[in-house]
Amino acid sequence: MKRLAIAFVVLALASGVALADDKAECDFLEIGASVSKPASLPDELKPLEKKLQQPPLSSYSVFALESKGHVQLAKLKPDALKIVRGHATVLLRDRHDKRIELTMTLDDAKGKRVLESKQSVSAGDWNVWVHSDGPSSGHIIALMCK
Amino acid sequence: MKPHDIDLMQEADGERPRAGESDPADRDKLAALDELHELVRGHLEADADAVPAARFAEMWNAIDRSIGAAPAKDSAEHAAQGPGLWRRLSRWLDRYRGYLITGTVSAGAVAALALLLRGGSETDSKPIETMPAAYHPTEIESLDTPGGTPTVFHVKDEDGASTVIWVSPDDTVEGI
Repeated sequence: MKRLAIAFVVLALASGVALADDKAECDFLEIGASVSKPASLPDELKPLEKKLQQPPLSSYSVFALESKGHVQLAKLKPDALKIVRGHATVLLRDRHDKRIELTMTLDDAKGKRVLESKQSVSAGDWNVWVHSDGPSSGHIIALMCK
Repeated sequence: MKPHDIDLMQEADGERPRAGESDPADRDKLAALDELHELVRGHLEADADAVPAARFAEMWNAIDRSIGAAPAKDSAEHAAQGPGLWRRLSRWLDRYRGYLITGTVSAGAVAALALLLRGGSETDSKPIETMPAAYHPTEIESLDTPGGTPTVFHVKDEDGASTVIWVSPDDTVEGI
């Protein structure tokens, strides 16, 4: 009986690990960026402050948070990010411990596909997609998955 | 009459007979006088030889006494001051000679081994490349940007690393 209980616990742990490898918790930020004065950065974007102050993002001076959210990704199940400009989807293709394989798509406000990328990212690192929609403005999606 | 020097010289050279040699009585007297002269001279020479010998013996005795007295005085002073540094060092070396030899031989063996190992490693060594262990930049497997031009940036700061994919529309001229 005792051995059976131990085997059950081991199986439960193993299945839990397997299930954990099929999921990812992601936070996203939608940012409107422009070049104007005075420069501004809202408090909600403080986690990205140092990255926004480095090239190439430092070419913008005004950053505005347009939306933010959290999604729980399941393997091979695309999720839409609830953004105000256009449309964005994220697909978890695979996960190996700290490496997460994602597919990201971004459509502009007119419904035109502007970006589709497949990339392997490190868990906990911010990844940024910028669609420059004019000479002095841009649409930024920042995504961090764990 | 006192004979002149020239007469004595001629007698010594044998050019003329010595005074009294012609008379047998005088000849006996001369022989006795010569014998007496030899006796007196020999005694005086023996006395003369004996005086320097006694003097040198006295000097050597004095030197021996002075040499013997000086070390005794020094040893008395040393005994009062204790053993000297050199003597103590010598005693210490005598006492630990075995340990010193063992240590020296061991140090030499270790140094030789270190030289051998270092020589081998220098020939085979390569510059060490340092890479951050935790930083793995994003790997982009595919990137499609219809109507735009993508540019990929890797940004790293103390908060971590990030990858920026920047899409510029083809009909827009920008200077990033």
